[in-house]
Amino acid sequence: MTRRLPQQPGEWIDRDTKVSFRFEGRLYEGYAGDTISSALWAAGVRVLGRSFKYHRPRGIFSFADDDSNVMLESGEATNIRGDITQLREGLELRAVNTFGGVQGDRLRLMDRFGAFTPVGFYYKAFHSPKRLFPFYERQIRKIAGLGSINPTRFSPPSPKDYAHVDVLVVGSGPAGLSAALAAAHSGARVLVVERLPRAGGTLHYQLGYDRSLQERGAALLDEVRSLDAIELRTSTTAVGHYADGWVGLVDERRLTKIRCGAVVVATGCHEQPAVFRNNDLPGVMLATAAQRLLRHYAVRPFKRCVVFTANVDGYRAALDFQRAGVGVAAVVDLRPEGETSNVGRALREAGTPTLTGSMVYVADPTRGKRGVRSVTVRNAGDTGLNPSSGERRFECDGIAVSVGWAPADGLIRQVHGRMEYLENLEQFVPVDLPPGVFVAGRVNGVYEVLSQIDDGERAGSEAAEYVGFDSGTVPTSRRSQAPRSHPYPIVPHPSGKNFIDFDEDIQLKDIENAVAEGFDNVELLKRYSTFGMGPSQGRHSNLLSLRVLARLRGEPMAGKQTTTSRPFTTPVPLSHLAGRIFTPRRRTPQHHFHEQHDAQFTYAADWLRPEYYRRLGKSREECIAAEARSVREGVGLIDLGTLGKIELSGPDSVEFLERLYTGRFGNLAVGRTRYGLSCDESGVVVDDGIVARLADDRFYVSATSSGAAGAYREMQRWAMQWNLDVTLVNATNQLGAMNIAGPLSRVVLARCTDLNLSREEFPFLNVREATVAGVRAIIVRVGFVGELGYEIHVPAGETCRVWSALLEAGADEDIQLFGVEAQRLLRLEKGHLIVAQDTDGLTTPFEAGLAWAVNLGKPFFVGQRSLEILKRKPLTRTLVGFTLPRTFSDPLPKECHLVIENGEIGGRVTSVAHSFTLGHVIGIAYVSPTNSEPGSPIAIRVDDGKLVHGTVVKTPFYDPDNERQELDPTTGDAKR
Amino acid sequence: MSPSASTPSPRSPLQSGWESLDPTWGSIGSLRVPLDFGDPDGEAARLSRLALADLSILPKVGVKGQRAAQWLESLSVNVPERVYGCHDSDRDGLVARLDVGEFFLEAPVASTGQEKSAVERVSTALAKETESGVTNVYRVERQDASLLLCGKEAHKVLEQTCGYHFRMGNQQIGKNKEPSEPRAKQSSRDVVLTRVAGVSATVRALDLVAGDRSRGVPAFRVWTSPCYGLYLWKVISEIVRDLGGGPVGLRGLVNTNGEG
Repeated sequence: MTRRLPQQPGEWIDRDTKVSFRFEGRLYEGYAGDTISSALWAAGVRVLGRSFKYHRPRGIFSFADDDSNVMLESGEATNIRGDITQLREGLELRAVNTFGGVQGDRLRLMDRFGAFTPVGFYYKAFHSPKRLFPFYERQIRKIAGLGSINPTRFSPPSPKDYAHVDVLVVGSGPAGLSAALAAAHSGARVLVVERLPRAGGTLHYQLGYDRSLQERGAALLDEVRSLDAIELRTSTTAVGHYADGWVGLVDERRLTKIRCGAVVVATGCHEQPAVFRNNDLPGVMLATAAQRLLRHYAVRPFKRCVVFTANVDGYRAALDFQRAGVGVAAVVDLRPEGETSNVGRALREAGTPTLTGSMVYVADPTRGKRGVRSVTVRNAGDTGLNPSSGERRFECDGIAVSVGWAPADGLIRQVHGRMEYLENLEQFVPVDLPPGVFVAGRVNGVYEVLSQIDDGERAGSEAAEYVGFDSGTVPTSRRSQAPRSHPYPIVPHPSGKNFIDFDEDIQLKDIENAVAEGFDNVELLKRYSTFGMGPSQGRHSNLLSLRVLARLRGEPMAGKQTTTSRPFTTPVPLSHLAGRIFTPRRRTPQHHFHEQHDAQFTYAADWLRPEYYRRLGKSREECIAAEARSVREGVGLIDLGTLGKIELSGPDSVEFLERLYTGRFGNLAVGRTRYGLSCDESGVVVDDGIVARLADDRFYVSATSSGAAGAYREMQRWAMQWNLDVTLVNATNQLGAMNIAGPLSRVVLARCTDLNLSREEFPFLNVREATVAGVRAIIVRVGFVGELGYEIHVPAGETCRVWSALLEAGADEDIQLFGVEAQRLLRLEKGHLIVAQDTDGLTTPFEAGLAWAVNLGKPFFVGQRSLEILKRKPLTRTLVGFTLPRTFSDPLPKECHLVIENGEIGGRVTSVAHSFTLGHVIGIAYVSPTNSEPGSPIAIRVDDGKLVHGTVVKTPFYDPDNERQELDPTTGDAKR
Repeated sequence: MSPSASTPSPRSPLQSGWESLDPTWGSIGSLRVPLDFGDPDGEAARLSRLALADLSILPKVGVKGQRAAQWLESLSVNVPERVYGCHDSDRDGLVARLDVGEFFLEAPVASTGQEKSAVERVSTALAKETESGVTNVYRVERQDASLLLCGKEAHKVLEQTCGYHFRMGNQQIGKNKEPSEPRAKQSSRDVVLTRVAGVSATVRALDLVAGDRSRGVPAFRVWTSPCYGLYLWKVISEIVRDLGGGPVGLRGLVNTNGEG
């Protein structure tokens, strides 16, 4: 551990606990509390990663998740951020995006071809020939990318939490802690989140050894920890800020969605890089990064450095370095006047060379660009920008950069808080905040620690007031008056490699070229040059690019805006976003029975339904055919629990139904049912079902499985709009249902009920309330599958008992279960439509052959006016039945295969199946009205492009006279 | 539709979720219930920490209609005044007002002797109403899956599955309010119509009062449609397990009779 310092006051490492890990195959040792980067830097490792495009060596730069220099992968995870990830015993790490390891990366050659790969190179070079683009794409992805995913890795479910709090304080620096205390003292419950492992922010490392400030900071922290009203979460990042006070918090294990009465944003600032040649070498780092290495981890950032600065913070950092035994070769200050405060004086008195009005022109690299060998400094010149004469060189192994700050304002701008550039501060500050959002500290342009504490108290008090707590007199605070940021810390160099965006290897000339090409709007510039599109989301490059753009356009920064800020502020693991997988599926009461009987399930909306029941040695088609045959020839039982079931009651029920459905219901007798078709206002079919009249003012209505929720919602809406005295109950989920169907169904059902099932007492399309297997039931005589049949609706909790009783009662008749596929086949043979399968979002009753269900003579129903208009217009398509020749033996056409008429699309198939009953393929399709007459040819284009030829026929295909509804099971004759 | 009074005990929609745990069967009145899952002592301890129980077997009924409140009062049912208000008693069980004219009733967990619960009285009266053709009060079939989540960790389960803040009651966070308002409107007696793990559910926070060992333990009742019951049971069971809890039978919650 060549660079580890003696114990530092308040250090974050536990020197009693050593941690071993491997990086690029070599064994290293750090301490508990170290991050991966701090442990490696302490071990003397300087090259921790390679850059995205040019594969240049990279080391610690921001040490704060503001750059992506140190991105690592292990066998388990990828894109591990070394700067902020805690060291763990046994980690085996390697840098992402290298070919042959971080030291000998073979793609380092890319750095020599920078001149040939300017901004926009990809767009211009690889768009043609088009057929080669997939090849280019693969190659580009190989050589420029982040880590690779281990597809075999299983992430345990991440528990995603909801939480609620009066005031959320984001950031635990002096302003955040002070805000939390003020809000808590007002009576609010407060949550403070800090992205680092310990609270305190700059109080830990940026006080320039001011003992009084350190004590003040410690007292703040102690008080926060002592209050029950304040919860402090460290290693937790606020990643997204949404309307209504929702904030996303991410920690190592989970995503927490927190609802806040008010939010105090005390997120501080991102220290900004200076742009000069080779400003990305390992050893060039932000001053705060070096200070955190020193104070938190007792790691010497350099042996001897140059401090490149434009504010008092750089001078404080230089003092910190010297006191920790780090040599400071020179302080290079961009400002002509230098630092006139006591801090500047103290440094000069210590004998440190201070060069004002100067700039770092080049960081001279060591061999292989693995570090800094020396620094070339020049006078800044009259403009403060153009490097001029007076070149000096300082031997050193690092550069600490402190030239300015950019507010960490993502959480403000995500909720449309407006930031404005103040030229006296050379910084964006909030000028217009949405209700419930307050800011404090550096992000608000307040830099001195005592002022930050005042500002935090103000923001915390205002937040508590906003939530409804009495904060008394809200204190005032004021922004700093002197700038902490240089207006243009950017040094041109003819050989480039002066990087503006470290994630994407974007140099100054790339931005200049993009602007020259006309991308002179910041949003366009971002998309063309890709600045700010890397993992760091432009925390360094956004402001720098804007400064370059403003200068190139000859405009001031005032009035400029940075690019749009969207969640998330930092990358969030997909496993966190997924959380536990909540995929609700509805199950009918008989679901467990179906599972036990080897059902193959399918989805009907979010319901699980038996598609068919597997039979040993039988294919799917054979199973379905056998189930259908049992219904045609004997008796079958199907679970209809998914059907929509809606109860209507009240004196206005009839009026309601008359307005809702296209048919008449006023004349529907008690005990009878009728087909109900509903349309929307434009006359499009939206749902259908059976309307059963149980009493004068009581109806039971069915709806399609997938349309039930929508149908009920529409019913509620219309009931309110029409102000009718009708009570609606959606019983879909509370009732089970089944259909016993087939010539023998009456015989079987009769054994389970005392209801008289004779055709005289209970004819077709009638409804009865009776008892089945001792359970009160609604029984409807329906013919959806084209056979004698009874729908039985019972309370969900009793359904299994009735189901089992019917199966037991039908044992002698060899009652068979049938699934939804057999039902679809049977209803197709009967020519019955399924809304949403045989209709679409534009189908009218006239097109679907349902004109018989529309009574335009009624005073009113939903869609009536549209249907009256549509009826006067010629049809553009119509639904017809078709058959294929008996000799047809190719794979069946599929639903949605196109009907081709004279080389053009004439319609599409909506249902198709092989009917074992009829011995050929049958189907339903939309065709042009001119081709809809029975006997017309129909051509269907199937998957391989061939045309399959069939014939339009009348429907129903099977039992057109409904004779099967009263078939004598003993003779097979229809009873008339 | 009225259930038959003489029907045998119905099957809980959650039964296939827990029957593989080899329950010890018993009864509450005429209802067949799981008493425990083989570890009665461990389950008793879970009640105070984190436990999940299936109470779906308790009889329930809904009433809907413009006159529903007056009609229920005529049957001596204590009707909550406010929408989402909730009353419960050892005799009548739970009565929750879901809308101006809609009520949900559930029989009490604990057996209290010979007196008929509100569910029984209301069900009988509704059947008569239907037969006589009297209008404006209608039965709502309630076959809900019904869970009990209890223990001092119970709120953590809902924090992972539900966006409603039960510890703050009805407070509308984010609205500017009078200073004393945030806590004033809290009512542990309200029901909350919300979503739990992505499905519609009715939730009520309460202090568990059944079982002396668990008296005062925070608890939540969760009702959802029976079709979502098994899904919800599985999701919540998994979270409960991850938090160190587990399922319990009804032995520690009610007066039950074992089957030996």
